[in-house]
Order: sequence, then structure tokens, then C-alpha cells
Amino acid sequence: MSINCIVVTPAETAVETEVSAISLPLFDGDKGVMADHAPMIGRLGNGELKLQGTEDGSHFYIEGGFVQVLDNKVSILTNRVIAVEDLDLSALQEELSNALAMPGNNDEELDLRERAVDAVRAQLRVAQRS
Amino acid sequence: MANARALDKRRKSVRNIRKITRTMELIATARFKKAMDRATAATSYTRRITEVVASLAKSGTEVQHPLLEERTATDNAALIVLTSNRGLCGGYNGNIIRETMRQFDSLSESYENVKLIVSGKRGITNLEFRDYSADDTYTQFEDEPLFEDIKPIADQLLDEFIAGRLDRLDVAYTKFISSSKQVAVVETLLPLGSVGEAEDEIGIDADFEFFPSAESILEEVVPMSFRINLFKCFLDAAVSEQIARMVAMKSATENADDMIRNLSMTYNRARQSQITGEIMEIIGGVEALKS
Repeated sequence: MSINCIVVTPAETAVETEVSAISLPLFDGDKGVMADHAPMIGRLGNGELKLQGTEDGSHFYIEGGFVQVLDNKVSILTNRVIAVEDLDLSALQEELSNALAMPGNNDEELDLRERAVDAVRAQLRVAQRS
Repeated sequence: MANARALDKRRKSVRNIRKITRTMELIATARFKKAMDRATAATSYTRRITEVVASLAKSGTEVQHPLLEERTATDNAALIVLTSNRGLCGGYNGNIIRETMRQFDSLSESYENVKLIVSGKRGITNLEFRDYSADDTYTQFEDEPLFEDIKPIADQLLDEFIAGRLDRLDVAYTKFISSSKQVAVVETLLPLGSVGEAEDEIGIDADFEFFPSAESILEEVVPMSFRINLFKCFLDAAVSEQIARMVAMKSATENADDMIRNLSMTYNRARQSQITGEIMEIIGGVEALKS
């Protein structure tokens, strides 16, 4: 039994493939989805998307969005998809220090900085784990 | 009869122009295909987000969000105008500007402050010439608008709307209906009105589990659907611009062809009559020597 998995960003359909199991980063932690999962809609966080039972690229970093599971079809709507192979540790370190150096003089700027730091940290985590 | 050499010169210059317009047509065709692909790719995201909203609505969640509510306040409105950076695309910019002026005038009647945001050099100069001063201008959007570039603009507008500094947002752009039909339209993006228009057509019949809750998902979905709507306007405008340029350049090439044909005919006639004239002169000379 396989699941049809589609990952879309506003700009493109990044992944469309048949998989046997998926692990996705919900807003508060990872969640696994296998065949015949109950219908579900969830909010995604920043983190690693793992696809099992597929040949071409199975680890991705995704940034926020939603997931809808229905009839063995998993639609992942996210803001950004990066294949884990394309994450560059040294570039990310630099990005992190840039993000940390962002101004934080008022609530909005603080919020912005927090979000940027979160995203880069999540990328770093994913890159280091693989 | 005109001078044959002058006609030939003219024909050459028309031929050169034809080469340019023909190339521009081909470039526009290639760009159109690329822009079209991008627009189709974005459609799949829009469709899915509509599905999510439809499922939310079906689950009995009351679809309520500050972005969806109609405002009674009439203080601030904004109008975004999407034009091209380059000309030579027929009536593309003219049509949008006409729509813009009409909408701007009617908004000015009912709203106290109307902010005009213009994207594209053509629109900026043209509106300036007509005494519509733009409050904000963008020129960085070419034929491949990126979501990352539009997101900050959308977020800023969202913030203003939620904070109550903006009561209505309209966008004037060229909507892509089919490859043979594009219309300049004005659409209201904020307040959103409804996000799940095609609710009944999708016909999802399942009991969804929501993580963390339907309300929290709605809170994320609604701003996202505004962003994607705005992004779609930019994509539509890019596709329509390429089509407009393609059509304009195609007719320019055809026109040049006609001109070349006419000039060739006149040139040949002029050349022939010149030769006839010369022969007559020679014969005349010979006759004169004989006698």
C-alpha cells in the first residue's frame, strides 16, 4: 500500500511521488503518516520531511505551511522546500549570525528576528542530522 | 516617380525593423511559455489551499477572521497597479491605466485617503504624466515575479490592514483568462470576502482531525490565501504582458512584410522606368548622330 505524496510551494510543485511512509514536522513535533491514515489537517513547523520507499531524494527541509491527509493522499503546502543535500552548513552558520544580528528595537522587529533565527536553526538541525 | 535608390534604402531599413520585431516576437513567445508554466504551478497551490478551507468549513468551523470581515470605516484605501517595465506591448499598459484612473477616482470619492502603489516603469511615468502621484513604486518585477519578493509586500499590507490603517485594498492588473483573452480588471483583495469559493464543487466528505485546532489553522490559512492571491495577480500580469507583446510584435512584423512588398513593387517600377528612360536617351542620341 503506498501513499501519494505531493509537496507544493507557491512557486512550484516540488515533489510528487509514491511513498510508503512519511515523517513530517508539525508545529509541535514530528508526526509519522503511513497508509490508511485517518483524514487530518495540520499546521507545519520548520523541520525535516522524510519520505520512505522512494528512490529520488527523500529528505527535505520544509518551512511552515499545512498538511492535508485524505484517502492515502498527503498534500503538503509549504513556503519553502530545500533538499537536504543542498543545505550548506558553513553558509547556514553565516546566515545564523546574520539573523542574530538583525535589529530588535520593537516588537515587530523582534518577531521578525525570531522567525528568521528559528528558520535558520531548523535548517542547521536538519543539515547536521543527515 | 520616386528615386529608385531612396526607395531601396527605405526598404532596407524596413527589413531591419522587421528583423527586430520578429526576434522580439520569438522572445516574447519563449517568455510567455515560461511564465505560463509558473502560473500553472501556482494554481496547484491555490487549489489545495481552497481544499483546506473547504474542509475547515465542512467541519463546522465558523470561518471568521479579521481579514474576511467587511469594513464600515472609509478612511484609507490602497490601489496596487501592475504594469510592465518595458513598452512595445500594444494596449497592455494603456488598458490598465484607464482602469486605474477610473477606480482611483471612484475610490477617492468614498475614501478619505487613497494610496496608489504602482509596479512597472511604464505605469509610473504614465500616471505621473496624468497627475496621479504614486505613493509607492516598484520596478524590480520583470517576467518572473518570485513569491519571496512579493511576500514582504503582502505582509506589510496585511499588517496595515489588521492594525486598521488600511480598510480596503484593490489591485488593477491584467487578468489572464485564456491565451487568447486577457482583460484589465480591478479586484478587491482586502477584505478577502471569501476564501473557499469553490466549496461545494470539491465535495470532500471526511471527518478531519485538526492539529492543533481548526481555528488555529484558519488563522494561518487566511493570510496565506491573501498572499497567494496577490502573487497570482503578479503572475497573471506577467503572463498577460508577454502575450500582449507577442501579439503586438506579430502584427508589427506582418505590417513590415506588407510595407516591404509595396516598397519592392514601387522600387521595381522606378528601376524599370529609369532604365527605359536611359534607353530612350541613348536611342535619341544615336538618331541625332545619324542625321
